[in-house]
Amino acid sequence: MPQLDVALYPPQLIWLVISFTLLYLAMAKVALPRISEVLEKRRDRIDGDLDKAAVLKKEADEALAAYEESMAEAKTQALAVIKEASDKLTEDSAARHAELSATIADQAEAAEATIARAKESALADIGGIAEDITSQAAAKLIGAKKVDKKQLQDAVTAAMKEHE
Amino acid sequence: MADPLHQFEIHPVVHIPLGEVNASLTNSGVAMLAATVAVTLFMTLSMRGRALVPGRWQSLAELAYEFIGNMVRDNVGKEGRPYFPFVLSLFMFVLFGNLLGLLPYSFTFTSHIIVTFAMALVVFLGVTAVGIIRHGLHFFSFFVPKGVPAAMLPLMIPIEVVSYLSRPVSLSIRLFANMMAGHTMMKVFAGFVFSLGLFGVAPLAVDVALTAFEVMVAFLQAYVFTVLTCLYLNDTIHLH
Repeated sequence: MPQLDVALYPPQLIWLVISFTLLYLAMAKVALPRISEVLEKRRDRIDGDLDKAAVLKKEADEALAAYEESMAEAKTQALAVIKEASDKLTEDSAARHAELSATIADQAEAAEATIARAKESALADIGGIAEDITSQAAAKLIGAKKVDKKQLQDAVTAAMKEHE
Repeated sequence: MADPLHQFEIHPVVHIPLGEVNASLTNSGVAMLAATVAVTLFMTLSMRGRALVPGRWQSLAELAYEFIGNMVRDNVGKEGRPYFPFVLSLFMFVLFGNLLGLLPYSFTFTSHIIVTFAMALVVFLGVTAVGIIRHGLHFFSFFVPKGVPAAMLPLMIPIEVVSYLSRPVSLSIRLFANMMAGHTMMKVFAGFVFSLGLFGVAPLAVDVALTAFEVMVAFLQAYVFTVLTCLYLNDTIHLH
């Protein structure tokens, strides 16, 4: 078995040391730093992109919040305007209603006064008319040419009093 | 039939007598240098673009980096960071040694016990040195198992010491035996292909399957060698 030939050990060991040392140096000094640099750069880049994405997302969220806030504000404003208008309308209509009611009340009062006056004058006239009718009725019924005016008046007043 | 062990023979390519010592560049040395060059080219050329979005080769190199990086982190923790280049070099060296050895007419330097033992010994001595430097004499409490009655200690301590000392042996023999057995088996079956004539299709099919199997073994043994290195390192850094 060639593996057990001790005479062949020195050249194998010598070249093992040489080649492995070379490989170690090449890896430790050149290859591995380069790879780790690339990996680190990539990780930084990915982290950076993620950070940027997070910042952008935050900005978008803020914009959305601002939009919603202004939307809510506009809504409250619109509601206030509508309320104001409706209040004003209510107020106007109430005022007009009151005005109208007052006019109507005035007119009604005036009409009542007119009616009262008419009634008064009618009541005042009714005595005279009654006297006339009575004197004429007396003349026709009993042929009295002349009825004492004073007597007539007393009779009419007494009758009216009786009817009141 | 060709000798199945013929493939393990070492012959010099360039004679280099270093005084009394034979420092010749052999086919084994060439295979080691080839592995070094291949790994270095793979790990540097593929990263030449330093692309943010990696291509195929760069992905492979990054995969190797992160695979070993995770292995060291998972098994040793943050303290394993300084040993990462060594562990990665070890893994790539063994892996490429195994894989390049599968190419026809090439040489598998990991099928020689002296090579695997030397690597295991470097790991063993390195790990022990790390333990002594980190913990001083306290490191030797590693051989005193916790929760064992004092009466048992005269028995337990020698067992622990022997099991610790056998680490480089098991580490090196595992890799060497796997590689040697696999390659010998492939050669044995290959020897039957021509001698059986038309029926040589059967051993050929076996060799096809064995080739795939050996690729898996090449990865697996490189992984096992490295993961055990990490575990030994973890044991010494975090004394139980």
